Amino acid sequence: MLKINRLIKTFAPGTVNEVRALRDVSLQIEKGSFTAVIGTNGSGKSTLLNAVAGSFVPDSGSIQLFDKNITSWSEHKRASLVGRVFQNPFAGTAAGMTIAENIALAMRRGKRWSLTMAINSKVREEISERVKTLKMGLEDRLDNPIGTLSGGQRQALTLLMATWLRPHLLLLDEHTAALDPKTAAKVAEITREIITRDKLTALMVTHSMQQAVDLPDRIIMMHRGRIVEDFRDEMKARVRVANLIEAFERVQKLDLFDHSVAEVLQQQYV
Amino acid sequence: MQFIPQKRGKYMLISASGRLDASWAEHFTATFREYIRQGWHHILLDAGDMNYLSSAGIRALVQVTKLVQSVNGSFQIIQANSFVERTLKMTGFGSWLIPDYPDDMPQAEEESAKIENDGFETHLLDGSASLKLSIPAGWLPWKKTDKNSHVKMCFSKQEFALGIGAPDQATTDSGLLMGEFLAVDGNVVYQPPREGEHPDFLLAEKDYQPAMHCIQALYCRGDMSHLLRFSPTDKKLYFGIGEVAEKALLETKSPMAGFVLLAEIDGLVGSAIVKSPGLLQENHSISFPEIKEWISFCGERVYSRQQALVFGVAARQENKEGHVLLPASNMYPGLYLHAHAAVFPYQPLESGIIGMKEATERFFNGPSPLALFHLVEDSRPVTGLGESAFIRGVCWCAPINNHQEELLWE
Repeated sequence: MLKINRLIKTFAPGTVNEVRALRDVSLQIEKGSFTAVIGTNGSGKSTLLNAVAGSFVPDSGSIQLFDKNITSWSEHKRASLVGRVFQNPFAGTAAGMTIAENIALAMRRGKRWSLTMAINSKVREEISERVKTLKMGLEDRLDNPIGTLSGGQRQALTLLMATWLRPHLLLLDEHTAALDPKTAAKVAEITREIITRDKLTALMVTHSMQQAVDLPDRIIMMHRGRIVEDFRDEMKARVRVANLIEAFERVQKLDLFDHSVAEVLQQQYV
Repeated sequence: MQFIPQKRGKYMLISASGRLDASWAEHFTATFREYIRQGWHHILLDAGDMNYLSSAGIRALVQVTKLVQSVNGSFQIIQANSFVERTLKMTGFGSWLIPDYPDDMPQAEEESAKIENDGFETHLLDGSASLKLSIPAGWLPWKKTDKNSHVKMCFSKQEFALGIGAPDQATTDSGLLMGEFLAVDGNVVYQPPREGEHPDFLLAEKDYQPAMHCIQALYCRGDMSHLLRFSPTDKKLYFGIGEVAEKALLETKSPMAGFVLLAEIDGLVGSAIVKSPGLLQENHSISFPEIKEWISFCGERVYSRQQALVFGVAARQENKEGHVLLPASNMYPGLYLHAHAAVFPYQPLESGIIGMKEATERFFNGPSPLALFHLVEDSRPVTGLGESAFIRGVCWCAPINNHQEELLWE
């Protein structure tokens, strides 16, 4: 379904600011699977998501989605296949437009535009029905500008918009990180409901270990531009937050393992 | 709630004021647990200013009672007001109440005696007891192994070992699963060779004898002759593993000694195999960075305040010939030491002379071990983590009566 093959990306190569964000990353995501990507700051998880979304062209490697090599596709061309929710709740919606207008835009994503009425009564009914599933009472406020809503409400709507057309792939980039804990839990729950109901394939970057354990069926851990752990199938079933924290500690320990440690072990390890 | 502690001989007298209810129960238990951890096993609660006790509070008192009972201590309540007294009597816990201070309790708080000793207390268990050491398998890094280099060892009571091996299963599989282990009195803790794997354990029960296929093993059989106890003093807050080993050698008056240590951890420094030596394709000198694939290093002092069960073999030799499988210490010149430590969730230990079997079985029968390490002395200048150290604990030890030539495994 999504096949990432030996992806390499270095930002500002050859300068003092050089960052080797992706170092030969390969990953295969099956259709219908929900994968979380976790990692330390600067580990390359958001870069991986951006590479799939087409925010930049990788230095080498390829990305295939449904057997189509999309590596050189532009970001907007990929938008017909990929839905995306950002960390910033204000990034995915147009603040001055109403809820209904925002959703009407999302309903035509990737399609040709015409001069027909964007929101007729049938569309309005459909919007109302779907918004109702968020259980936030927003179906009664479809004509309110979206800018008047809270961050959590906007993020829930963004999620709804991103999945309206059942994208081939849903990318969630720390989409609950800017929300208060209670709202974050609510949006996480909505995420799970939508992905399960619509059998979506999703890739979610998160800093919340609890979310990584609770929501997806696979967890990828990245560190310094590489995938260092892949919890899937029966391993995912037994993984707990404490195991993920241990895994973080392990990769950080590996960073401390230098020449001098090797010398100590060569003397002491018999 | 407020707590005012007073040290009165063997008793810790704690005057508590306020309401012992659901809001304070957890804090109450944590406070008392801390005193028990510090070695105060006889707790006297002065409830004169405690004006309320709910069922949640009684549950906290039950928890404290169970904890002190597990270390043969005592928990009693004095000066309870009429409400607290009535509540305790009606709920069947009236036996905690005592009318007067115990006779053996001093009248006033004692100035804490300035302990000038080294923090150790030595008890002779059996002056004639000793251990016999053998080395049935002596793999050295990074030699290729094969089925012929595996030695199957079964462990029963009075047997102690440390080394590298795999649990008793098909020999072909065991090559893939060689990891560190330790065996104490027949019970085995084994670390599978993969990052993130939890240590496994094999308990000697009824007719079952734990067994390991070993490529490396320091194996001792016999009885312990001495019991060492150590606890912090005014000047000494922790005890290094090298220090405990030297003390064992000194007390057993032997150039070589085996010891089992059960102690609260200040910090462990160690490493563990993360890729089975059975996967080595050839004799190989593995250096940095490849070594990172084969051994993990703790990176910082770990598992503070948990309990360690250690088996170690120590030797003292002034010349530098060295010993088989005993690396030389840099911090203690002339000391040679090899020790493995299993980490268990903390449980308090009884005071006084305690039996190794009873003490260690509480851990084997309790919550699962958290980790197993080959202890390493990290004496790198500035960045070094030093040696593993312990806050308080108990160490059973015995002289090893072998001749050097008997130790060779060939």
